[in-house]
Amino acid sequence: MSLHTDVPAATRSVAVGGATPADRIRRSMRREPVLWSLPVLLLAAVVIGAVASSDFLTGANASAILRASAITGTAAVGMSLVTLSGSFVSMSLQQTAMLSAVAFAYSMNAGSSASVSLTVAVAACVLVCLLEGGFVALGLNSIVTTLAVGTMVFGAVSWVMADRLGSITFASSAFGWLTSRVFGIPVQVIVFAIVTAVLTIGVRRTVFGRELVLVGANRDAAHLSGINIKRVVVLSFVGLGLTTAIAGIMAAAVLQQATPTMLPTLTTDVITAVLVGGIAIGGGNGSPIQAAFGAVFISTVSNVMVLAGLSEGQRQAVEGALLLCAVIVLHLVQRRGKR
Amino acid sequence: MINFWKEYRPQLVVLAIALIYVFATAPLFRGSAALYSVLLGFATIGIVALGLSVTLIAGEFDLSVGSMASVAAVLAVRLSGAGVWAAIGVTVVTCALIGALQGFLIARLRISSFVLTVATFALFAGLSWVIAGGSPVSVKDFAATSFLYERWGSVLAPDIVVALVLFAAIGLFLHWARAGREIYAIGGARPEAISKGVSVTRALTIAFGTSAGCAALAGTMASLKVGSAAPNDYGNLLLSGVAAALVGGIGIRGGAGTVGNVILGVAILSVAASGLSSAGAQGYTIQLVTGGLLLVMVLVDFAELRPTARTGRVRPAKAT
Repeated sequence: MSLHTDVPAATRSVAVGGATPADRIRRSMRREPVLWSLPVLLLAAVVIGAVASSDFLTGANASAILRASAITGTAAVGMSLVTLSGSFVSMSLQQTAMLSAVAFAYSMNAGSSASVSLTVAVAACVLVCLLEGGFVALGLNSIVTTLAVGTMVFGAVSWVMADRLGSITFASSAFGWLTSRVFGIPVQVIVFAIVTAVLTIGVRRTVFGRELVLVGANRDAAHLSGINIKRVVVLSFVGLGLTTAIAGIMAAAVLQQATPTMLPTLTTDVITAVLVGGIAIGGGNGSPIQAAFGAVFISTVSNVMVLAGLSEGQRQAVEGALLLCAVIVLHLVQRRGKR
Repeated sequence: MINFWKEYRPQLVVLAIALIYVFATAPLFRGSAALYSVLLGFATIGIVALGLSVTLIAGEFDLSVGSMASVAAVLAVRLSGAGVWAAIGVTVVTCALIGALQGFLIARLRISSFVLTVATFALFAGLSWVIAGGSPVSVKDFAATSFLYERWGSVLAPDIVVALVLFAAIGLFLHWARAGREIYAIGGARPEAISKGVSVTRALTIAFGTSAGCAALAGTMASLKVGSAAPNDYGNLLLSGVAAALVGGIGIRGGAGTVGNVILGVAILSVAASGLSSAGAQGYTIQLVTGGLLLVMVLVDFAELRPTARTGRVRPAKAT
């Protein structure tokens, strides 16, 4: 798996003279169990799926799995920035994604050009996340702040949309390309891959990315080494706002409409993706690509369950049980690693 | 009296503003009818906020209360054929035990309560679908549950009395019982409490058992009263419960706050909600106001911190 190219710097520097690459890999696997556990689980899900149904291992199904994970995954990759920097998670993801979808649909319906609509949608979403980030940077609890802001966004959008019977439908050929394919790959999946690549490289290979992880790992050390913590926290929320806006616009393009109650399970799905991906909830440990893998894993498991004939409620329950197992196992593994 | 004013100043100010506003804008919000609708808020949001406050005082957070209330609502309706009291009892006890197990795991594994309960929040939401069988369920014998609609005098009803008794009981427990004081100690000064021999496991097991039991009771009474429940019907109670507890001034840092805070918080939200809906406002306006109040009160609470407690740096994360 490509995750092995992503060995943390600490592990890389340990490799002294005489250690063979195999030794290094073995050592990194022992140190960072989360790096291999998820690919192994993903493989297990694929094997179970292939055994359970002959429809599973087909190109069309693989494409369906990736497409289903694109919206959740794009938002999850952005959420990983907030988690890595030590602000836990945002509980207002559904509402901010919905805000960008509604703003996009509104603007398209009002006859604005595609680029104006995109700008309006992204600006609305980033602005709300900037506000949340500002409050969190001041020192307010991120969970409570985002719960409060999320409710206000929901209330405000419902208020504005009350005269439209609560939903905006738009038919626009300008965004047909968002649901089309390039070389047989859905455009949403390409967007998801690009966002993941950009943020993963940004976190692992840029100064700001390293600062972000240090702020999550040890605020005091980050403060003493002259990092502006407030700036890092605010920018992590801006990053979340950008990816959430992209996710919301993709959802609007797929559904061809926007309502205040769209994407009802998005917040839970994204948190599940981040945590199942093995990103430490306290921050400072992990990479955005893990959240992307988490999203693909969940959508694979969900796909297997659909093929096995489970109802929506049963799938939700299994997903919740998986999340519960994942957080407990990861917690125990990481605690053992710290000793 | 002066102490009372000092202790609850921000909440009393907000409550006064809310009362003045709804009296001015809602001409129908008067007398015992208004009091009754405010008290009804205590039977749903109030009970949830009360349980949640116990976990907040213990320095933890229970995100699963909304899903737990939904599970209880569906379960109670399904069990109602075996008798209403049996349904309420079995449901509340089962949910309280599940909650206690959560608290036990949080203490023993030393896992962040937020992480564990965000997982059970998703799990219980799914469970409520499974228990309901994927679609809304309803009570078979409506006559058996109709007593929940009785009115005793002009402002009392069975669910309101249950809520008031529960507030009194938990208030006394937190203030006088040794186990209750231990919850404050564990929330306010955990290392010191542990070194004095206070059991984290016991405190958290009781706290999470209480919050799950309270959420279950609120969901059960609400669903049996209406006679039906849809899967995940009461997920929104999480936000209302958190809002009521924090608007009331239960600190998010643990070890602080009393049942008086919860009562004021629920009163503020309930006055705002019933006043606004009496003036013809829609559900989303009430949500907007709830979210806004929560944000404002969290900011006020933050601004009132001693200057030494905020050095301009972001406080270190409390999880893990």
